[in-house]
Amino acid sequence: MHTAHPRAALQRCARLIVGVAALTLPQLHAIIDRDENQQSDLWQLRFDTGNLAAAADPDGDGYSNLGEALAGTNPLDARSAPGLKLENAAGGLLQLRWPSLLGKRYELFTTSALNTAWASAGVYAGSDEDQLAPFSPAGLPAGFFRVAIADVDTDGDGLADWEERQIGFDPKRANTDGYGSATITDATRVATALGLLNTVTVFAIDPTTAENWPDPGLVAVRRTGNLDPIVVNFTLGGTATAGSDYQGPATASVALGLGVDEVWLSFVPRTDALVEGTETIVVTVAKGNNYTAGVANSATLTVADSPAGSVSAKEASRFLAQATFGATEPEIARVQQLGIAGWITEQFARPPQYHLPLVVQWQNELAAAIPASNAGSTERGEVWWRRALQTDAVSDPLRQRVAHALSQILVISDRNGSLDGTPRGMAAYHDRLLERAFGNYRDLLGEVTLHPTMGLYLSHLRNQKADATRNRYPDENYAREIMQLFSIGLWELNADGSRKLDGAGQPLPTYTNDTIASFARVFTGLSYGQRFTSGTDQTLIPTTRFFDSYGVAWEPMRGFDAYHDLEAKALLRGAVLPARTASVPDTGAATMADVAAAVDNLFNHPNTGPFLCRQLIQRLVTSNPSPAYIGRVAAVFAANGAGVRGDLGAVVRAILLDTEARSFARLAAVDQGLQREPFLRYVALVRALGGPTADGRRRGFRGLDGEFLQRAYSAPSVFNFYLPAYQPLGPLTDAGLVGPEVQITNGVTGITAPNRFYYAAQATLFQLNSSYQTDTALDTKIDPAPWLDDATSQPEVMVARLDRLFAAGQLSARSLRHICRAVRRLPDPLGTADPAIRTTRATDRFRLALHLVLISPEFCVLK
Amino acid sequence: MSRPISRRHFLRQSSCAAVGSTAILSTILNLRMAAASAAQSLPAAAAADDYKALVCLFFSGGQDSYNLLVPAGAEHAAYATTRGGVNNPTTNPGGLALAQASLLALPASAYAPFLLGLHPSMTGLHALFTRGKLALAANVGTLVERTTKAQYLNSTAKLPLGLYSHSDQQQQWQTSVPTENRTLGWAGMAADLLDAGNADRRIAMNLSLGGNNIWQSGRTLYPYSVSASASTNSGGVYSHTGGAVALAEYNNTTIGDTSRTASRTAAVNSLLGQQYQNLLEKTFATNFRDSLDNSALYTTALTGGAALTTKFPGETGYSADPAYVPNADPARGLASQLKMVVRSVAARGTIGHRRETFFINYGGWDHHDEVIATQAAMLDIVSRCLVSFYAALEELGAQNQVTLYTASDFGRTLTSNGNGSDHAWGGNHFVLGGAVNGGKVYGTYPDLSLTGPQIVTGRGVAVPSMSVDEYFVELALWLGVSPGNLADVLPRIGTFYTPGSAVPFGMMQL
Repeated sequence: MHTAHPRAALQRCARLIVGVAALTLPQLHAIIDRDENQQSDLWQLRFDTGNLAAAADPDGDGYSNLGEALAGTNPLDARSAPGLKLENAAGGLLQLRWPSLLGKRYELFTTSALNTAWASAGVYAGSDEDQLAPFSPAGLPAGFFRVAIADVDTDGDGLADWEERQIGFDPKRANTDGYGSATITDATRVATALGLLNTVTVFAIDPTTAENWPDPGLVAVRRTGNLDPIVVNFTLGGTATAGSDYQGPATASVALGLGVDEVWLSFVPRTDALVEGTETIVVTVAKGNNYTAGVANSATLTVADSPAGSVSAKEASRFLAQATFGATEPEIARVQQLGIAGWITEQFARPPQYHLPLVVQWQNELAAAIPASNAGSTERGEVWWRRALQTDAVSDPLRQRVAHALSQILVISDRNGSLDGTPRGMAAYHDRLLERAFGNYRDLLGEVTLHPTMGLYLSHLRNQKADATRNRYPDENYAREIMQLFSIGLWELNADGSRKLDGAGQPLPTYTNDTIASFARVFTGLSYGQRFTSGTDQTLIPTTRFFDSYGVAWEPMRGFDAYHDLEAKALLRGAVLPARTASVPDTGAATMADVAAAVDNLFNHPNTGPFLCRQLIQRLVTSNPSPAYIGRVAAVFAANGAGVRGDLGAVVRAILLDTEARSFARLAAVDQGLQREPFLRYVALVRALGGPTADGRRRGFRGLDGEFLQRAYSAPSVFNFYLPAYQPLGPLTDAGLVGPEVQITNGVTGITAPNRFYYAAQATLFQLNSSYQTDTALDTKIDPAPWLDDATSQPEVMVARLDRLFAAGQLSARSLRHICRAVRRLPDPLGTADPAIRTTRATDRFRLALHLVLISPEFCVLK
Repeated sequence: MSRPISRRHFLRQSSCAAVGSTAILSTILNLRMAAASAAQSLPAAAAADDYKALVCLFFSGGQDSYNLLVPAGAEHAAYATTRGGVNNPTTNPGGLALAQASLLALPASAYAPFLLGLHPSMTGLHALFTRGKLALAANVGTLVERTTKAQYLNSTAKLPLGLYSHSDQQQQWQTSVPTENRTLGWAGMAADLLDAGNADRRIAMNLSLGGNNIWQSGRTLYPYSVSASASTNSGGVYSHTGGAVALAEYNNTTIGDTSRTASRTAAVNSLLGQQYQNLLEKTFATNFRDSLDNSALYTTALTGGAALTTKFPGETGYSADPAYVPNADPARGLASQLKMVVRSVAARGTIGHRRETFFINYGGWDHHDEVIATQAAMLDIVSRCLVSFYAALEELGAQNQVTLYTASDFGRTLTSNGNGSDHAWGGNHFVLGGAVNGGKVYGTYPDLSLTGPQIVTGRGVAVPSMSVDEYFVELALWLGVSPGNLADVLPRIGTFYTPGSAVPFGMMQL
């Protein structure tokens, strides 16, 4: 079987020919050849060849300049050339190998004898890697192989794909990035550009830096005109000293390669102990070859001095994105003034801005003015916004934010009709979360358990002891969820939140169905504690009967021992509740003693700290905290420094001051951060830019949930809007990471959310959507006025300011560039003398920049 | 989200690009695309319209389905006793049993051991059962292995993780794997295998009306969400519309010097085209990009579908009753989602798929409270919507090409907790379509007395007698998964059924 022998086959197949002319594939485009030497000008610029004779072979590699131009190889380097080799391959196969370039097309031909016709044996798209074509030598006649190389012009714009790749154009779009008009194709642009002179300008696109937050300052060096490679010289001035105050470019020149129209100079601030005030770095374009400096020939960066403990504006913005509903410029200044720890301490001291009093006030006002308005849930939601947006001297943004996080763990929802019908009850529930946000989790868990809204939501309100004669048993709903969701979770945890495993590597359940049945018996005999006196007299009086009418959902439930299971009950970890005697008269004392002991039992379970702390970290800082981070915070939950367990204030402080929340280095970690809830992105926008309304109220917010699948207190179930362990398929799952908030981003909300931000940026934040409020002057809108000067004269500064406010200065250089370029494409405000048109144009620039920042991945992910 | 577009690009760039591959290539060169070996080819299309779609109607919350399918003969007595007696709003508000006389009886031929009936709200589905278009599956649930009452009671049974927990059981009903927190759903895995047979793979073949879900999440294909709008009012005529959503002021075909649209389009493309190192940013950008691409394609494709004359609940013309108010019909939300499925089926020619899956989430079944009244209202909605759904498929002539099945977290306790029921295990389900061997109840309906051989705990929990794998396997085979690939789709199928052998129940026309 000699035919199967690789060596024999190799010998018979050894005749290889590489054809570099377009022998069978037609030339698909007219190359740009201004010097009329048949070779692509872009190829000439790519290899810096100058004008070469087509037939010459200066590098002596056997291929003419014309051939190398078609192959896309370097005519001045013999190592860069077309070629075709035959090799042994695995499995007794042979393979052909040739260098392949992305954007070219290769066709393999074969023939058994040179005097017979060549037959095509396959077409291969170029790949920038050697192309391999294995084949079986069995049955193969002695043969010759030839590869023909040709250009491809996928978008038909007259520039070959290979050429477009050399200059960073899109081979699939005839007008690469939409610049120019529809009729100006890429080829036209290139042909025009090659005849122009270069003009170089510089812009500070990320102009503020600080010594203690080494996010680099960026200066863009831009050229318009030609595409040829140039070297731009510049000088560095200003009060800051290179080397000691900042690390700047190594040389005073920067190369713009073929087709490159913008490069960035990066300036990394350096920390020193000097007290020196804010210094400047000034970059100025200097003389050089093949360009002239444009009008904007210098750019200035600032380097803020950073005494120990001080906070840069970007760092403060990032902190406020974690700790509040979003940064505002005054709050950034406040954090810088107090320091992060000091700001937290100040927040702890501020009294809660409760919801219920305002709900009652607005309900009463509206009911008086418009009796048919049926005021209620709208006002409750509006109060939520009022508090979330509050920025005055008594505002409590940290508390409001933490309470919101708690509301996504201790979930009740107005999608339940009973709850939507009791806005005061829901507001009162939120007030519990506000009051305990820095208090003790034991108190909060107890208050949640006894809250009528929770009782309605998880159906333990009026839950009764078993009646075996009727096969009726206690409702297990609350018993299950207080364990699974509010305290200990399904699996035994280590102190760092990782699961304990048994000898077989399996996780250990924290409870069984028997435990549920037992806790269900605990949560019997609870009903309303307060009631209206009658249907018309709204004076509150204590309830006296389990089924009393007119119960109110904003006062705690009370026990009724007659309806409570008084038998002994097993709790977790060996605890047993004793059999109890019903109180006489029925004060519910036995019921309340059981409930309190059961809440204690759960609160003191070792799981509760890591289980709760992990979720709070996920809500505020990062979806994937390290076990060590969870462990550090859980340790504070276990003992706050004064030996107290469950101190939420200490937990919040530990979460926000942890190195995983604070360190600059974490910004570069691939797993840092969380996808911001679309709803909270919107809150951040309104907080930062929502102007005052005529009467200080915010209406129309209910229209948001369709676009975001989210609104405060409207989760689809007690499992919240998303699961803490949700793993979106793709890179996160591949890395074993979770992305809870990604669960509500889908093909619909992936578009409707950006559209909502578009509408907000272009038109209105909140629009009246109610039959009884029709004054559009009460709509909430963004006021562009403070942004128009920058939008007019230095849009880069405007974009950087938006970046700092919303994305904590984390927009990448590329993203800044894309946004700045988009903004500069709009009509120039300075291009007209008409002040009205100028304002319109500046406003357009602002709105576009704002929208792009708001939909950028760097804003939508809080790192 | 879907990733077919980026994967397509990947294939185009990395493989030998099928463009112009000649016969010689395949005879003398032993080239194989790596990706091709992983995919399963569909049989060559026998008919011009080789199309199949599987619809999962997920009743999230855990439906009390022992009141969906109920003993209608002598066994009703034990059922009624366990459930605390026949419900009567005044004399027995805590009783959860339905009156025997109220049941929609199934013929004796439907289930050999004894007589069964459907919930009185399900008149429309009862008629479809009688026509042989609907089959029921009794006492289905997640199982690690076949489990007996004795094993459960002496704790020797291997139980599903997080049994009785909503989140865990929803996940397991979507993955068919009760032994781990798997993120791959069985429809997603099937789609990964079958997508190669789709002529146009630019649009995701897993369309979701219920947002992101595990059921349709495969290794390479994700669910693509589309929206259904209930009761859009056009000049007083209410109809269900919907589809994909377009990004405002974004248009890849509009190119102008200085227009906002051109600027925004270019910037959005650039922002999303970057490589993000942070995995959350990368995920966000990918999802956004896929949404934009899919939305444009799907919107265009939908317009190619035939218009439907069948009216769904919530649409003008659904009811001849002059008092009927379309946009007040509580069925309009579910109806709009089912209509969206039918509209996609109608556009199958332009969408270019031979295989599709659809996910609908109809929640609100966690009836710890008020189970009698609420379930009656909700089953009425389900029944009316599915009648329109099936009629619309018949209008398209596609009724044999679409199969719908129901799923839910779990069944509920047979005993009452006052006026509701709690989380339990096995439950009853149904399968609808022209390819279903209908008019039958498959599986084993348990003895519902608290001492019955399948009933555990004092609360009346039914240990499933049919595993979800057995329930799904014929659906997977019908969709086109080959017996040899079943274990990829239903990883634990081997515990309950030997692929290639006779199917467990014969529920589907295979």
